[in-house]
Amino acid sequence: MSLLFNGQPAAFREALQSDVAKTALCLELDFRSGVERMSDWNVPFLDANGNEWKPYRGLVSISPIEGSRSSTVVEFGLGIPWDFLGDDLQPLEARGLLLEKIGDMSDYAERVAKLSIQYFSRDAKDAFGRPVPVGSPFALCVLAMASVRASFSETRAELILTCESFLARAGAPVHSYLTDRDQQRRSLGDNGLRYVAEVTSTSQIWTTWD
Amino acid sequence: MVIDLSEFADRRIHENFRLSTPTRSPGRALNGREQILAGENAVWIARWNLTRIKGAARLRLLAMADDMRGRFGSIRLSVCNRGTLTASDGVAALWASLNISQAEISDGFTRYSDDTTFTDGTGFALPQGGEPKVSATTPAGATRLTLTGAIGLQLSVGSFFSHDDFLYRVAENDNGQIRFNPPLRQAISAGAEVQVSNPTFRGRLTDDDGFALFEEYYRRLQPVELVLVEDWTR
Repeated sequence: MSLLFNGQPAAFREALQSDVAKTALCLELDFRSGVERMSDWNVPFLDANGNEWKPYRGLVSISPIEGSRSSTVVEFGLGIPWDFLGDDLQPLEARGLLLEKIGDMSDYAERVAKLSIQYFSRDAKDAFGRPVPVGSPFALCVLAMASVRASFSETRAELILTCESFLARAGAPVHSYLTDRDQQRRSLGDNGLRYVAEVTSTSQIWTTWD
Repeated sequence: MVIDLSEFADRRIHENFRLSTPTRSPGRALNGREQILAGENAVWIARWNLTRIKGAARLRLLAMADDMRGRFGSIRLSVCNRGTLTASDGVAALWASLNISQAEISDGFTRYSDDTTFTDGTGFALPQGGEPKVSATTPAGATRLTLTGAIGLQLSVGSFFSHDDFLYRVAENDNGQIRFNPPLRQAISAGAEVQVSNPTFRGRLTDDDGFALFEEYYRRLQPVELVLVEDWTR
């Protein structure tokens, strides 16, 4: 832990000891199709590496993050992209597009999701008057994107991204075996692995009718 | 749908715009005391009080309320920019504020401070009114920009300007280099005008019945107050 504090600039250590601090909650999702960076601010900001973090919209909610070993799953509520909700799309068509994206698991499954806090200088501003970040983002958790689900109702549409810890998943090995139980945990109702003899390592005994 | 209430602007008796900034506390900081965290999340909350509206204007207002559909509709207000020179004051007021003499006005140009002119007998062109323009492209999130134009150079601290119905209040003005709040909602390109004479704001009601007062208003003469929260939809 001491490395964490010693490796940061003095301004960051001061911010941690200060009565007030300017911060942003940052979520980075490393999709295969490109990295998405979003924050809880309502205007964009640049980090020390020049990356732009998009405001609002993207990140809608975060499930409670607990430090215990038994709690290894975090659910992020994400804004549904306007591309899927635009005026010119019929609701059914929008759902189809969204589900198609969710079905493309290689875009997100097993890829990294990082939730961090970025501290900013209280006084320093850049040429445009934007707050200047101090130190590196302070990681709250680094997770693997596992599954996405979308739900639609009359009054709302939700997109929930479930992420799991790289170190210990909820009752499962790090990279899960191809067992029926793991498959059910990830995609409830998917019976594809239930009767695969090689996977379940069981001998099928057929009746002889005698 | 955007409901434009600017036409009722002359009936307002009070308007109050404040920036609401949510903060949170994660607990104690390393110094052992509670730490307050804040980001850039400020939004405008507007309270708008109107005086009595009669006859046709009232009927028009009721028709607008029908169109509004509670919090779904967006309301555009024009904001009174007190205490600063605006283009709508006219060039005469602008010249008076810059201490340009009648003689210079009749000449059509101004002189050096020692009252001399160029060698051809002319001087500097009289400053023109008109809304200030942004001198360089400024990204979203910025809190500083540079305005050109005589009005922009003189914009008072505490006065408003708007761009695309997003409202900003001036915090500092150093000869056109202004600092303002809240941070720019969207980028402004170089040469774009900002509205100083008639800044506009777009907001939503804080509850669905926020407009219901207007129905009772004419009859009971009760004061009418609209409470709006900043609308980001464009």
